[in-house]
Amino acid sequence: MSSTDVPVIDDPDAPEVPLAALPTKKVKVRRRGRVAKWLAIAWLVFMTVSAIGANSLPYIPHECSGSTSTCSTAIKGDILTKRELPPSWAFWVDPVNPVLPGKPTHHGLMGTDSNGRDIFARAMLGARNSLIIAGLAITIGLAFGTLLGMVAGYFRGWADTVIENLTNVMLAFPPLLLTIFVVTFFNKPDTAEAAQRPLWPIILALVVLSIPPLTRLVRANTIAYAQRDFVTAARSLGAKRGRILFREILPNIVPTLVSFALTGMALLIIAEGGLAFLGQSVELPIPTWGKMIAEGKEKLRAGAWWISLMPAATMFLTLLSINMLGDVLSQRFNTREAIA
Amino acid sequence: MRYLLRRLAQTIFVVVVVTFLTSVALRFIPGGNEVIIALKTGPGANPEQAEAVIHELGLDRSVIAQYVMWVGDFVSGDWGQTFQTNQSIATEFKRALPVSAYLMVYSQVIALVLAVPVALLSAYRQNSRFDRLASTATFGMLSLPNFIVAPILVLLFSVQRHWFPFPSIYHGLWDSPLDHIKAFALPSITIAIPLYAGYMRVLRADVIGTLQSDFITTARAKGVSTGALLLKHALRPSLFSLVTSAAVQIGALMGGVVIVESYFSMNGMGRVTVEGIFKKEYTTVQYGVALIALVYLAVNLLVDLTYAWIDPRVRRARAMG
Amino acid sequence: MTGRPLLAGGPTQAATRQLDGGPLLEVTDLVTHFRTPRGLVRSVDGVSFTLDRGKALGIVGESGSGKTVLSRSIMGLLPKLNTERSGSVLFEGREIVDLPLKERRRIWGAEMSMIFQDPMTSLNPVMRIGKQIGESLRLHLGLSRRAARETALRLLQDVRIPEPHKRLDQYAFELSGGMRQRVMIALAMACGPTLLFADEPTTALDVTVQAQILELIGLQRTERNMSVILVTHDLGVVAGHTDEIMVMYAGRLVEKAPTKVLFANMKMPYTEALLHSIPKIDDPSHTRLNVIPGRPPDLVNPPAGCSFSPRCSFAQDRCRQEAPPLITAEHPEHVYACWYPVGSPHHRARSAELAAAAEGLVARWREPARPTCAPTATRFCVSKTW
Repeated sequence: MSSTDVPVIDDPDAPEVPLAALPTKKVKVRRRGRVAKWLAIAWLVFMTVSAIGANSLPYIPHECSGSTSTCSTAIKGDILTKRELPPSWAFWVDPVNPVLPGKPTHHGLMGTDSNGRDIFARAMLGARNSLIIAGLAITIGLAFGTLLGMVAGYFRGWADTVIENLTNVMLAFPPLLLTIFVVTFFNKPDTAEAAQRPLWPIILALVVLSIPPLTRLVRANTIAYAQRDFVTAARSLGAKRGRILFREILPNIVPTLVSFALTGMALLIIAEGGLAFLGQSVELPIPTWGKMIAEGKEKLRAGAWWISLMPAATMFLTLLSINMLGDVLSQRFNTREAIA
Repeated sequence: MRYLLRRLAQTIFVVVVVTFLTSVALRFIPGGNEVIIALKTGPGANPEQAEAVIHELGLDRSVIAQYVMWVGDFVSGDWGQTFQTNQSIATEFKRALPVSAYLMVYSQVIALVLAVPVALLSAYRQNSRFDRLASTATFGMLSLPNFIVAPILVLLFSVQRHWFPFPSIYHGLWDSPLDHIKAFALPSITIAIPLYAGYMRVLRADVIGTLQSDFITTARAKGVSTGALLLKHALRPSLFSLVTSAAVQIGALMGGVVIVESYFSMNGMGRVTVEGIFKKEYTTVQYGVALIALVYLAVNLLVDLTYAWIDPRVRRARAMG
Repeated sequence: MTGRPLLAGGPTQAATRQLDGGPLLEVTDLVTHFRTPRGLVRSVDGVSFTLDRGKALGIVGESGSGKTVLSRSIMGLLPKLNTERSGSVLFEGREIVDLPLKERRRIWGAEMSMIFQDPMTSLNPVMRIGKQIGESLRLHLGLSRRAARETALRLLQDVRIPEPHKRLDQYAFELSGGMRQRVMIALAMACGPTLLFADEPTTALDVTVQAQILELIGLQRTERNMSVILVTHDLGVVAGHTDEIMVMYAGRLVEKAPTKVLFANMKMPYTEALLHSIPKIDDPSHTRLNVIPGRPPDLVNPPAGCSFSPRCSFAQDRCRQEAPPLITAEHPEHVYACWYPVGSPHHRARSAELAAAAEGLVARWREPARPTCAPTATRFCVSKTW
């Protein structure tokens, strides 16, 4: 309303302070949220660093240098023990099947899996594939979704009709089935057993999954902004469509998009995990989190909970951080909008 | 009225496209017709057999004719047999439908019954200790995928405590209610957790908004008690988003809980369809996808009608528009 | 409108307490502060007044003067959290400031009720009119569903709503603004309260409807022997509809007098400025409004001395240093807080000065002082900061 720095409400009749607001408490809460926010960011940075530099990071146990495929503890496992060892802090767990006397009975931060591979190392390495897959997919999806949504929302008419109906059709297919279908379709039937399945079918599947909701979001926002005065003003000044779309409307949608994309990325990590859980994700020397959880689920019932739950915890914390960040962003954006 | 007609037309269009795509999908299977023939007749089929298979599936006709034939089969319930085991596909889905329906209903009920009171209280006492606890817990639940929750629940309640059987064996509700409940408890809870989290967040935000409206002050100035204030005045105007998301979930849950169904070995719609993909039972997949999509679309159409009930303003706007 | 049938809701409660004689409402040194991140907002800063049964009091002030908070504070409607409230409110001789919520609820709607500014948003959008009115009847008077409905119907007749039968089952959005405000009045009147707060009851309405609504409130007041507190920013509104007027500025009472006395002899330059800011019907069109220069005071850091001094054309050094106390004027019920009231020698001299100066630069000086920030610009700011 007015550009005064004193929060006087111009409406002559509005109560002087928002009566239902709880000002002092809010300050406190915000500080609380800030700690959580920084923790979330710290965790994500940690994960990203691990994903990029896992081969040479001091906190990841490795007996190798160079290519990851030669890393024995993380990838090939300890041939000698070849059994699951509980994490070293899990003092209450008796190690399963103590065959070799003299060998350690507990191992590392997260224990080892049935092949004697260090789970912590694998979980850190796993961040790479999980984050690459979800991150790439959401980025590509975002590009397509933004383009389609802005075209539909700004030009309306037949373009809108076509895009809207396409979106509806895509949304009607059950998402997980769609991804499984795409993945199996591109993993040629007889290579299913082959040791390596490529990354791109699953990324494609997740892109397909992410486009419709992103398109809808962008479309709705574009429609809202296209009617705002500043767009009308730009148009009346003779700005070209492209300029209006990318310089006037897009910058306003970006905050919403970013927070939505973060939530979307969390969902895609989950989707990838689900695929892996059903045995349909990538087959790479380095697993994704979903795959590790899936691999451990049989042993879970046998008492070796850490094989499944340690990567699960890693994944959970990552999802939590991403969600939290998305939430912080969307809240921040909302308050800005409220001010404007 | 015009709005409803438009929605109806849109839905019909989507139904047609979705069924069309699923019906012609057979033509794009990796390996082509040979794979289908081989699956159907076993290795070394003679040309007549092969032709019979192709003809039965309509692969020798035009795309349109195949689609019409497929729709005819779909509507009449004549869904044929599975390729490899020669079982009736219709029977398979008839068995799967109640499993999915029960799972959907139970998880929805659990999620909603928890979410509504928690959200109301959280919103009313915004930033209180209860609210912060509930909100944090909700946030955590949002980040707990099914495939993490399910093994943990099984570990806690089936392995260590033997309260619930694992894997779940389907029992009809009326045949043996106790076994039925035991079988569905863990899977339903697994599904309900993220569901609850979503509902609680949506409703809490909306109730907070509603509680700031003037008519809430009016009600307070009337001397209405807190309970009546929340339930009679604040809840209904806040239900809009909750009903939307809950309704959309009905459709999504009918076929979208593959992971839980698989983990607990329950043959619901999702699992039957996914197993179809894995086992290359392409006709099963066709009918599964079509069924799930139809349920989803029908539910979404119904949601629009429900809006009218929640918000009389919509009722009028729609009636006039 | 004479010889009306029995009044709905019944003035029974009002009648029974008629006997105790004292004022209906006695507010003494009421303070209401809000704790905010910016600091303590002194919305109501020590206000005292009394109100007799059946009388109408107008509380007038700009936005930010604390008039709305004052009325809600008297009623006890404000949230407890981060609110500091002290002083005394005697309602029918009973202290109600520290009453527990349960007790307050018994009073709300039954003995005190409130009409809000915006009838568009003050009625529950998803509840039928009849039910909304009936709710307090059932709650406070224990009426049955049917009796409540019948009473609601009679109330709707009382507030002169056309086709009241039909309205019972309608929703708020189906009614016009004026009708909604009538519904609000019916709702507030339902249980026969002895005190009615009307918080800017006409601000959101068309000018033609405004008069009708004020008329209606006045009529109900006399019919039910009810006291009314009319909160408004518009001196014109209170002129014909109140017995007494209280002018507030920066959370304080700055002038109070019986309506006729006030209009005949206002003392505060602020009151005078408020009066001048009302457009007059006989002004030629396109006459510039006399806007009070500057903006309402910051309630966190109120100015030293008289809080109106920064905006007052007549302010002297003394005004900026010393807060004026409430002084009684010629009329015993007329109080004001000003060092140089209207009519004092200084005021007269300064007025002449101002008039002379104004002669010269009529056009330029009266340009609207407040820069407006169009939504366009704001949106741009937002997009840029992001």
